[in-house]
Amino acid sequence: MDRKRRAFLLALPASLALLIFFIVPMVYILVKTIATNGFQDFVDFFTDPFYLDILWTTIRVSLISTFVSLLLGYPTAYFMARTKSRMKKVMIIIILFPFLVSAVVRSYGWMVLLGTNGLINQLLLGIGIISEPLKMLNTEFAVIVGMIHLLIPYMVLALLGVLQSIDPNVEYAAYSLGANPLQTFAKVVFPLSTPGIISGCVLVFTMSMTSYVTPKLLGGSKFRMMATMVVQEINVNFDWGAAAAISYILLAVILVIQLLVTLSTANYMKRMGGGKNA
Amino acid sequence: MATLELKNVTKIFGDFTAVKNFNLDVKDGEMIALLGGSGCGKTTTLRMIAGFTEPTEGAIFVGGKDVGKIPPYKRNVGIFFQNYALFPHMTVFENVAFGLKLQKLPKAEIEQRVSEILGMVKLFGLEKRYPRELSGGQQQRVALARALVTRPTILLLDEPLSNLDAKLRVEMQVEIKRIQKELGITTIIVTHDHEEAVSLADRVIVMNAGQILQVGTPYEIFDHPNSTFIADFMGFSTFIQGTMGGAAVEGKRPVTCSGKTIYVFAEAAEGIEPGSACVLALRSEHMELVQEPGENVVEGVMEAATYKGHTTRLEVTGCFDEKIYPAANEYIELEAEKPVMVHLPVERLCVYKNNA
Repeated sequence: MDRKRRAFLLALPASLALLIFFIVPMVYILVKTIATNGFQDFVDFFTDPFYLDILWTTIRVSLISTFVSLLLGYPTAYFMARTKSRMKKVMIIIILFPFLVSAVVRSYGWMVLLGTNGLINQLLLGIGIISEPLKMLNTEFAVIVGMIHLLIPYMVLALLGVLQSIDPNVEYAAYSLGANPLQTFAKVVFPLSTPGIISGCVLVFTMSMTSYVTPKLLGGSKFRMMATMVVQEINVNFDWGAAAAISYILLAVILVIQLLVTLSTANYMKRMGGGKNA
Repeated sequence: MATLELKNVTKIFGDFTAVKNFNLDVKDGEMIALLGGSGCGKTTTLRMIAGFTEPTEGAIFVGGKDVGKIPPYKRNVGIFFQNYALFPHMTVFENVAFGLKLQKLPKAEIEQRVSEILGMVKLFGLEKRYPRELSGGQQQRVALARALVTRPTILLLDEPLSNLDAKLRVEMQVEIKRIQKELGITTIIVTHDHEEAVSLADRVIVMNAGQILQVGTPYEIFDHPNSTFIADFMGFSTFIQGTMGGAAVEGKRPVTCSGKTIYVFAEAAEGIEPGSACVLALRSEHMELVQEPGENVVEGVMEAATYKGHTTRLEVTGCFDEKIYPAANEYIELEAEKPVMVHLPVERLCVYKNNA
């Protein structure tokens, strides 16, 4: 009992901070909005194609970013999990390096690259592949590129943890039983890495759904995602009720998607639970 | 089923030579043990046979054919891993059927062969379980069944008994030997445990620092190791320095150890010059406590006694400069400084040149 109480005390500071600075304001906003306008703000959101389009854009950008991050992050993570090179620590530092630069600075970096007079356009014009500069900045494409750049480290780290825990002998066992490298990946490595894929995707998807700086700076004034819309409602339209509604809908969408992922993979994860043998 | 031949195989990692000029001929159906401490190159040798790593020099032949260019998934080598390496996301049935499914065999044949091999390793009714739901011994049987079901030409066993408790060890030892003989598969066992090696193999190869030190039958290796290093590794406890005496009388030669004369068989001392330094080696269980003085009987005093259940291991000083460690088949209470007489049987004494 004493141990339990001590553990509780250890969790107390963080729990209190969460309660005071997160849960209380959230509840306050919800109560206030409903007290003033009832559920009108929520009804407005779901009946206005303008808002629904923003929700769909947010989900679409997040899904694409998550999928591409997984595609690019997996080989990197697998290589790092299996390499015996002494450079492995350096590789992890390089992966973590983007964390040292804020999303704002990174977005400005992409502006330099993607702009009408940016490096990429100048290069392509110079070689003569195109005759007119491509419009890349202030598009959904730019947002997705910036987002992937921002989120890949999280994906790699989530995958790396799980891939490292897969016993290399399991792969050797598959080879010895006649599975070529592709079959070994499809039947052994990939299924065993699903916990990392799921946690990496949920993490990256959530961060992308709630991102503000990247869509704001790389998407231009006409590109809207849920988080940028919240700020717009408050700063431009002075509509706190709409802002609250959008925040809650965003939260609900993320929770529902996470719940669906958890439920649909629960059976599989349970089987894998403590899946490491011997 | 096939012969296996390693010719001048060398493996170098950076500036470390893991295996050096290794030569080995394994007959069809033979069971060989590679015995040695950690880092002796035995596991590297196993991995080269499996094709997981390539020899830096030399070649490996299976059934007379050079397999150097054949990738591991086409070698048809069955491997049993020390940590079993079962597929945690597959049931027992799926684990064992993995190799057969890759061969695209008809479903009925897969089912028949899986149940046949599970019967052979005495695992019944556990087909739908996952590895983590099995005991260590059961997991081991699944791993063995999985390695055998594809009918490999060569079977590699990495420390097959090391993770088991004493009772299961004996059981699995008998099983592995029975199945291996029944299927007649050429088998290589890698182990650091001399009991595992001598109990399973037809021939034992002792390795150290990437090289072969001795090749012999389990009996030869266990009772007549060809160096003090191997004797020590094979569990010899007592080593006594001495000076080799003159010509043989009645097939025995005298050795002077700390002023005492111990007789050894002349054939055991072959090639050791009279007057040269030598070392006598003996196992604890081959020394006996006696009441009467006689040939090869030395007197000393008891310094320590460790009761081990079926034996008591003594530490005796005063006989030689070195301590000796006889074992008795009974419980002996420690009585410090108690005089004891120990017989060193001439037929059990191994003699080595002292190069040190």
